[in-house]
Amino acid sequence: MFSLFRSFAGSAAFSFSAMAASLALAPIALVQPAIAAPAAWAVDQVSSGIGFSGTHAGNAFTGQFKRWKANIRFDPADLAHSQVVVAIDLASATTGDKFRDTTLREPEWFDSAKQPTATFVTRTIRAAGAGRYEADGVLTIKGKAVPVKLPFSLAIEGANAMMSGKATLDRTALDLGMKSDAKAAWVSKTIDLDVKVKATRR
Amino acid sequence: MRVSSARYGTVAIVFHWTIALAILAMLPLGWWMTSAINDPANMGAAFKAYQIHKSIGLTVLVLSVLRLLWRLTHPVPPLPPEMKGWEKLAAHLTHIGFYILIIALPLTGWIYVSAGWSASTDSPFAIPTIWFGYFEWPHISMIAGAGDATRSTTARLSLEAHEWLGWGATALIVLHVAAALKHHLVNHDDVLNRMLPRFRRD
Repeated sequence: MFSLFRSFAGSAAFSFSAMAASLALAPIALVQPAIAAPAAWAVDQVSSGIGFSGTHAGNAFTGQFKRWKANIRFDPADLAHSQVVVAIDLASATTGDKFRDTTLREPEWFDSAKQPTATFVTRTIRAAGAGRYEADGVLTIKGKAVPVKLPFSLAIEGANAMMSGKATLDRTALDLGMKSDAKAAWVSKTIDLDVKVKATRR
Repeated sequence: MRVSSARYGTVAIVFHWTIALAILAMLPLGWWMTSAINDPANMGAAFKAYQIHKSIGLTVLVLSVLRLLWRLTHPVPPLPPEMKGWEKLAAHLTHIGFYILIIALPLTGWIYVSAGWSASTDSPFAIPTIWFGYFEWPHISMIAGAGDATRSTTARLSLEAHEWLGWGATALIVLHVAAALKHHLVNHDDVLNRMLPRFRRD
C-alpha cells in the first residue's frame, strides 16, 4: 500500500482533491473486495480542524490548516479495514502572523509552491480502551515520509462522530527549517498537532 | 527675530525630518537588537525589533532615493555669505556624506537580509521581511539566489559595512547638530531656522 501511495505522491501534477480521492480509493480497493468496507464518513469542515502549535523565539504560537480533506472509512467493529487518508494544503497554514505564514511557505519549510500537499495515511488503527484508539500512519511532507502515531478519542452517537486527537511531531525529522534553524534555536523542535473532526456517516 | 531670507521648501523639510527621526530611532534600535537577540529573555522582542528595523530601513531607503532626486532637481537656499570657504566646504561634504549614508545604510541592510545568512553563526538564516506586518518586501534576488559561499561572504561584508556606516552616521549627526547649533547660538544666522518646520504663517 505504501509503495502505491508513493507512486501517487511522486506525480507532481496531481490536484489536491484528486490526490486525496485516489489515495483513499486505492488502498481500500486493494484490501477486501469480498467484504463490505467500513462506513464512509463525511467531514463537517466547519466544525473540524487541524491545528499545530510550537514556539518561536520563546513565544508560543498556534496555527491552523485552512484547507484539507479527509477520506474516512471507519467502523469500530472492523478496525482492520478502517482507514483514514488526509490531504492537507500546506499553503493554507495560517498562524495569525504574516511573518510566520510567509516563512512557512519558504522552500526549507513547507515549500508549498512546489509541493503543495501533505498527506497522512493510516496503516493500522487499534482500540486503546473505551472510546480511545491509536492510529499508526505515515505523514508525508515534501516527499519525506515519517511514521506518526495519532492517539485519539472518538464518540459516535447515531450517525454523528466526534474525534479528537493529538500527536507530537519532530520537525527536524520532517526536514522542516533545517537550513536556518536545524538546532531549534528559534522554532521548537517539537510541534504539536491538534486534530478535531466532526463527521457524519454517509 | 532673525529674518529668514530663503528657507528650504516644505518637501525638503519633510524629507529631512522624517529621515532624521527614523535614523535617530534606528541607531539605538539596531544596537539594542543585535545584542538582545542573543539573550533568551529578550529574543522574542528582539526578533520583532528586527522586523521593525527592516521596515523602517527600507522606508528610509525609498525616501532617501526620492529625496536625492528632489535635491538634484530643486535649488537649496545659499549658505550665509559670511561663512568661510572651508566652512562651506565642510557643510557641503557633510551633506554629501549624509546622502551617501541615508542610501548606503539601508542598502547594506537590505543586502545583508537578502543574503539569508547569519554573519554571527556563519550559517543559513533566511528570514522574510514583512513591511510593518503588511506585505512581504522582496529580497534582492541576485543575492538571495546565490550559492552558500557567496551568501556567506556577502553577509559578512554587508553587515560589517552596515555597522561602520552606523558609526559614520553617528559621527556625522554629532557634527551636523553641533554645526547647526553653532550657527544658531553663536553666529545668530538663519541656517537652523530655515530647516525647521514652520507651523504658523507669519
